[in-house]
Amino acid sequence: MIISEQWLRDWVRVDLSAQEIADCLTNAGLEVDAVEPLAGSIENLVVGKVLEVSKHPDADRLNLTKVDIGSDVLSIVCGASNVRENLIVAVATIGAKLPNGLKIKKAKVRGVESNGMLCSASELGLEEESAGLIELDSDAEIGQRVDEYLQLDDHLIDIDLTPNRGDCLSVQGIARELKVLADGSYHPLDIPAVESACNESIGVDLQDSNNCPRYLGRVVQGISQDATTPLWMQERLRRSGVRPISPVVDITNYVMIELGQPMHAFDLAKLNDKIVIRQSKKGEKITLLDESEATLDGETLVIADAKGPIAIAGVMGGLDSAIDDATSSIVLEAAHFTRRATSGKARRYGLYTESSHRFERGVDPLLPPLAMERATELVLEICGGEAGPVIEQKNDAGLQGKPAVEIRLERLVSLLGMDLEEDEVADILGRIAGSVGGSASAWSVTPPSYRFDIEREADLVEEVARVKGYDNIPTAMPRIAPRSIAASESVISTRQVRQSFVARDYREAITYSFIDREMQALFDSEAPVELANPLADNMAVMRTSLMPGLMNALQFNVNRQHDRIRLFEIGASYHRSGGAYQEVQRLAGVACGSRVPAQWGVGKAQNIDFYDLKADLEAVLSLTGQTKAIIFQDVEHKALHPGQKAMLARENDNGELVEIGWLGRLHPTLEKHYGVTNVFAFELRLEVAIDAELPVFATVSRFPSVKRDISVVVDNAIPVAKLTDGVRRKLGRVLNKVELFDVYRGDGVDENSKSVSLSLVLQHEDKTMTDEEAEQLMGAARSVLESEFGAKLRS
Amino acid sequence: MTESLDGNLQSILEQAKAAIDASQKPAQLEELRVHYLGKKGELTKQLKQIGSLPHEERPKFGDKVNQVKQQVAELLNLKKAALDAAELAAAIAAEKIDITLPGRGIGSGGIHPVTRTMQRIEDIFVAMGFGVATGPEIEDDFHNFEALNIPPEHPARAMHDTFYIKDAEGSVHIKDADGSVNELVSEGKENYLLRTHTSPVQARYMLKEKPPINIIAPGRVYRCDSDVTHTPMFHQVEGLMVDEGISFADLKGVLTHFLQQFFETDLKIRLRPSYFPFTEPSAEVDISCVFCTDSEGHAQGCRICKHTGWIEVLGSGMVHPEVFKHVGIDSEKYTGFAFGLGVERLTMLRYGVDDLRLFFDNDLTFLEQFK
Repeated sequence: MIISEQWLRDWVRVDLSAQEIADCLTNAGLEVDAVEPLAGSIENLVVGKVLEVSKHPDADRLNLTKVDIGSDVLSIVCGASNVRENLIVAVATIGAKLPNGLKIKKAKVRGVESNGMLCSASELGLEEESAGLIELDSDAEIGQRVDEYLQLDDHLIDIDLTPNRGDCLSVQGIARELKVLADGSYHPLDIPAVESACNESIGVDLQDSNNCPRYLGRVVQGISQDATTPLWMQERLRRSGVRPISPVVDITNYVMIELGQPMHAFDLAKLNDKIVIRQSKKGEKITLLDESEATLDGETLVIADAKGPIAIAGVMGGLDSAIDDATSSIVLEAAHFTRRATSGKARRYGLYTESSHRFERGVDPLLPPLAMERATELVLEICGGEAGPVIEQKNDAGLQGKPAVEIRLERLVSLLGMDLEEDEVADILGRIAGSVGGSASAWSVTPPSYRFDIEREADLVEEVARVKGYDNIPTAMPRIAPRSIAASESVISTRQVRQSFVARDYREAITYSFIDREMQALFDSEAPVELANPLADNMAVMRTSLMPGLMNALQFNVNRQHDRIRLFEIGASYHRSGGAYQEVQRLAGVACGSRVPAQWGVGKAQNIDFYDLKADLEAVLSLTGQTKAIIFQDVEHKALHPGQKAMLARENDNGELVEIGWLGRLHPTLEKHYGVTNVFAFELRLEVAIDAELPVFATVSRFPSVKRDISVVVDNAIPVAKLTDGVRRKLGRVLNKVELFDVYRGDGVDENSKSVSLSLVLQHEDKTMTDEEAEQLMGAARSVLESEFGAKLRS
Repeated sequence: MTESLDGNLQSILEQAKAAIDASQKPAQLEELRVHYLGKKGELTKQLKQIGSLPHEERPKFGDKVNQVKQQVAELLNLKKAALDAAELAAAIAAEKIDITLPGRGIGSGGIHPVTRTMQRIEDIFVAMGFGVATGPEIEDDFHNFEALNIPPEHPARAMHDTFYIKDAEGSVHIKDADGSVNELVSEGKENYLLRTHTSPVQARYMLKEKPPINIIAPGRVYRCDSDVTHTPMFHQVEGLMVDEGISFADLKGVLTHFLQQFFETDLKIRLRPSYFPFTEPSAEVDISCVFCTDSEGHAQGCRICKHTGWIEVLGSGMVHPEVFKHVGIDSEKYTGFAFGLGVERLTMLRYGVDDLRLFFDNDLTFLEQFK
């Protein structure tokens, strides 16, 4: 909310500058975003009256004027189109310096002498842009300083109010707050009741008095169609960020900003029979003031007449009953709509109004009668006419204030961790609530009708702390019962996982949890969890895999001339299972480009392939110390190259295969889709991947080992892992290690075969391995390879 | 006779000297060694002539030959050592490399700056004795809102810009009246959403554990908002401490300690009253501007603190009695504080990142700045 400093000072006298007021409010929780000075004081700027207007001899668009400024009559050349005789204007005389930096000097305009300038509102710093001269009201005295008349020495204080402080959405509200905070002298408006001058009235049928505990309607008949909003009111509206429209609308807005009560005015002639306050009927339609049509649901509070809704209560009026240039009789509305009745209604219809903003946060239920009198007074003053009687329907039960709240000094002291004097607390409570009963063991505080946020002791604790100042609360350090737990060794930490990827030249990415539905479908056939209100189509579903996001990141970088990319991410994927939702933590990565960064002395850099990523994964997974080998199985995956993919699994203690994840090259159609080549990717279930085993000590043999190599030729289709497994099974513990040191296809080897070279390390725990034993064991290895895999010894 | 033999010895020694001096390679030296000292070498030959001498002169002559032999051997050794040293020096000179050429192999990558900050936050709180808790990102209405004292009609819901989840039938159940999704409420169905803050972890933890509680809960959160200063996904760390006698002063102490550790400077903190439905009293926490505060603690004013000398960093407050009620903790016996901090914001302040959106572009040029 933006509030004018000068307007505020009418209500509360404090010995503080505008900036000090702002600081005071900020420190009390009413955060001031900005304090903007207006023009300030301007010398040589006075009220003048245009006596004569004549055309400039040499310029069609310029006029020559004679302007009376009281002490003198000045000849001034003026280019504004609205200049006319008898107009009251702001005259910048020689020596004036305007807010935009312009200095007024004696000048010749197209050969004619000009002794000053007639000013527009923008030249006075009041508006961004103006169409012509600012037209001062007739109450401005000729020769009076314009900065005084227009209160140009003003500041606009922009306050960002929290939703619990709806009571501060008015000049009155901020003034009340300042009274409490700065102990200022408070000067509320004296609002006399306006006696009715005619009997014209409108019937009010308050059908839903729970949601609208109070409704006031009053007819003012015979208003002038020629009335204009006085400049002082236009100015105050403008400084509050509200655009002046027409006198009656301006008055209702003015009262809202001044007192905090949103109001509305109907054209009496456009109403059919009495006013009814009721719930909407499903499907009812109303065309609103902004010319949009709303189709109502069955649970919106409306103001209606015999024909149908004429306003959505507390949100916006209807176009059909709106006042216009020809309106002669109006119905002023001042009502109390509850927070519950108005909450979310504006948003539901895609609306947001100053009125809905206030009602949703709570408007003082005692305000409507006062606001009605204030608005009537202003209408009669500005538009003329005769006021009828106020018709009020209410539900007293719904208007009852909040019950008294207790606060204990002891509790206050312990909760704030601060010593407080009984007298001081009582004084603060008194400033907030007016009347305070009881004593320090339990004060009883009746919240003011406008303070919807004071419901319990904690609320009053905050009030006292706030007024006392958070800065004055001491700083302490609590005794902290240890809750931090050293990480279990049964898993490796995600930090270890991250660091090992970092050590292997991967960079961590963080991608959005919601992705494009089609991208999602490219990687996974699972039906994803959908957002009801996504920000955009490409953020419509929750990812079931981290891969689409990582591929976007990869593509983003490829498009920015990066050719060697290695990214990983740790994060959740999201799934629906039955009526519940499941989140699975995953570890995924993508890589493309050369195996090593471009560098000297390594010849032509080779592209990464399946085995590079396999090595990366094996290195990271080996941190877990799992003794059971990872099994790479050939399993279908829609996003992967059919010939270069693997599912990673490991046996659990029950001998069942547990899937860890997958690894492979992106499917050629996906590579084409992304415009990339040779992209390799993996995705693991984090929980399974980081499952660790404690190291188990095994005796270190002190006897020498024997190393023997064997090369065999086998069918191409036989996975090497089967050969090593077979040998391991056959030889048992005496086989210390088996290493693959070559796989060869080509000259000297049959087309459908490959040559596989293994190195076997043989060792006893308790004695020296003899050559004869070694020969025997190699023979056993050879025979298992021959009999189980049809291997032929390679010469 | 003796004289002529002595003369021979002398001339052999001089010849040998000259030949050794002139040799350039170890192989030449080896040849000379054989030539002079070998079984058939010059000096052996001389020794063989000893028979032609009278008995009494033989020992003397024998000594002389041996002396010459020793001299030649010494000369050979000296020359060999000199040649070896020269050879090594030449080899070393030939193997000299340009040490300014870059090293080979792969470099090392880096963790994401947001992760870096989260780890740092965790480390500081864990060192204080806080535990780390987590909760689901697809949350239900109860934990995200109701348990935190944000009932359906609460205006605070409008500040949260919630993403809602469609159920299996593709419809959405919204209890909050101002939800931006215009669908009918169906009673009895749970209302799922993407958590708008990490605060639901508070509620979940307190429902499960009894005081004393001191935890932090880091994680992803979501708001339906995207512009220069908002991304629809971001990270928060929630903090919660509940025990007997926990006060607002304790909140100030813990946050001061954390922020001073995080920024590694004795910065000042300022608490301002604010409003969160799940805390009362509530406070926004500002730190003295880390960009323009001088060593004496005076803020010079800069663009980042908007010339106020203060930067808002987090929200906090004393746990609201209504929250305690929802989770079954006696608010007369126990009090506590909670806070929530924005990880991206702290990252930006710590490393001077000026555009929030960079965090999720995953541009390598950006990521490479963080190890």
